[in-house]
Amino acid sequence: MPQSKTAAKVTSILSPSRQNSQPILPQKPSQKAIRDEQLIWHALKKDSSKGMELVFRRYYQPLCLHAVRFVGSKEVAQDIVSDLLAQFYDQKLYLTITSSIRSYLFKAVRNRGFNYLKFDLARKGDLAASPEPRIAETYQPDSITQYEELYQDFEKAIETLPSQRRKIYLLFQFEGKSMKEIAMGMELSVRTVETQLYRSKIAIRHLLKDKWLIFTLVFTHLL
Amino acid sequence: MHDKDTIKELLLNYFKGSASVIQKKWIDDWVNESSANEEVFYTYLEEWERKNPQYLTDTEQALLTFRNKSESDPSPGNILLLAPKPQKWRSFKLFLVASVTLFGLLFLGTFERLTVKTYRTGYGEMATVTLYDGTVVYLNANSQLKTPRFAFLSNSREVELSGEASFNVTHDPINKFIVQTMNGLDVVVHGTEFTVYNRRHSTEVHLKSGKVELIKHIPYGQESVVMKPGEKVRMEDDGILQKEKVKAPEEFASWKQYRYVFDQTSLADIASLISDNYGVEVEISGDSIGKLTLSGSFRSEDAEEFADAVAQVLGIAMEIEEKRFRFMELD
Repeated sequence: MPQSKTAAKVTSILSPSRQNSQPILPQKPSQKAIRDEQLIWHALKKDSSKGMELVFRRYYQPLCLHAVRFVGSKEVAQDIVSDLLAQFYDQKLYLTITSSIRSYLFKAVRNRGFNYLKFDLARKGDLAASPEPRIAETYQPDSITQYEELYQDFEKAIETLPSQRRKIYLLFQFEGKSMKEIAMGMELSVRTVETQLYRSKIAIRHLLKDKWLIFTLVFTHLL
Repeated sequence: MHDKDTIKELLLNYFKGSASVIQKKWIDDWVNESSANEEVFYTYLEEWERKNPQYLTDTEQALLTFRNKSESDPSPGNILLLAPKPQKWRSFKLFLVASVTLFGLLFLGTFERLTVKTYRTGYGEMATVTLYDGTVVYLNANSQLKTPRFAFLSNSREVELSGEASFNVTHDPINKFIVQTMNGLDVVVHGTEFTVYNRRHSTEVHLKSGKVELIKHIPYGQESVVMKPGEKVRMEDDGILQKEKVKAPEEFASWKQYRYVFDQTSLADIASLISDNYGVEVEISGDSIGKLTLSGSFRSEDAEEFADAVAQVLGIAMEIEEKRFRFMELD
């Protein structure tokens, strides 16, 4: 495909209108997916800001959906993905990566999610008054299937909570509702909501600790 | 050894969480084999996340935030300003449809609030309501009664109940008094005193005096049962109406005096009663004690006293933590 044709295609997709700018979804990961990937890459090189728009429209949603499996909170997932994309843009990482943009972004988001969850499980004490765990690519599991294993275990742990406790936990953690809002909505006292959240946290921690916390605990001790 | 389709299926199963240990090992090795395989892995991961969204993100908002943050962008926001004309018209039409729908919804909501008066009791709270026709309704804890606000206009005597209430209905031969429950069972009254219980999956009607007719709505019609004083009818999830004689008619609506009467009632049933009336979580640890039964009556105004009494009689232990009650075997 000649260079000029590609450029024309890029500008037509970038035409200034909201309605037209739905993410370009591939039906199958096929030639089309590969072409999209190239398109984004060319756009990034030509005009990085417009290229980032394509990256957002294409990957923001699936990346957030993947991150939320690890962190269990919409807000945190969005923060992680936004941070990652900002870094990707600011440090012009798209010029240095050797894999596809997709692989790079997914790999990075999995690392951040993985480390977030492990630090989150390791931190102790009160829910509200604890500092944010450090999100960094500090530790990488030695095999790719460990990522799935961690978030699947996490989900199973949430499933074991009694129904009311689980509901409160999800409203707080996933939806980001305040304890007060939850208490009002469910006709409970704030204290009860707080206790339920605390117990959820303890229960999830308890279920995951044997398998997942050994490394983190040793690590935080060394700090 | 695996063709493309098999690998795809294997990976999708694996993301779903239903891959075996051996399959996982295979995936690990396969991904390590080449970067091309790794690319395939992430391609299917992306596809899987797209097809199974857990929620929808606001990409536009995220993009806007991103643009505001990055100062190097020379023309932030101008993508949003220039919209071609035909689309402006389309968005106007969209706006029109949206506002009409919104208005309609608002109106419907207000309309219900205007015409229906709702009485609600909280946990551990009771209320007595006198309706315009002189009918007296005793509403038990955690219950809700909806009555028509302008009943005198239509002479309608239809009310809707969820929870538990006892009715003392004024006789009116022309206008029937009807209690509707959420489980599709209506009670048509011909001047009497009776109790309707409708929580979770079961509905129960006790008749003290007079005559009531129960009407059950079934597909393509209805089924009806006439009750005599001193009878009780119970309907569970299966929709079958069971009629039996009340053994102690004097215990009719005993909860009005904060009294609870049990007759071979299981601990599991008592637990859900405590939880319904006082809004506390009640847990029973151990399968064996849930089947213990209790007969007799208690008078109690608060949940703790009540639960304590139950535990003592049954010879089991009870502990309370933060509005959570737990019955368990004695150590």
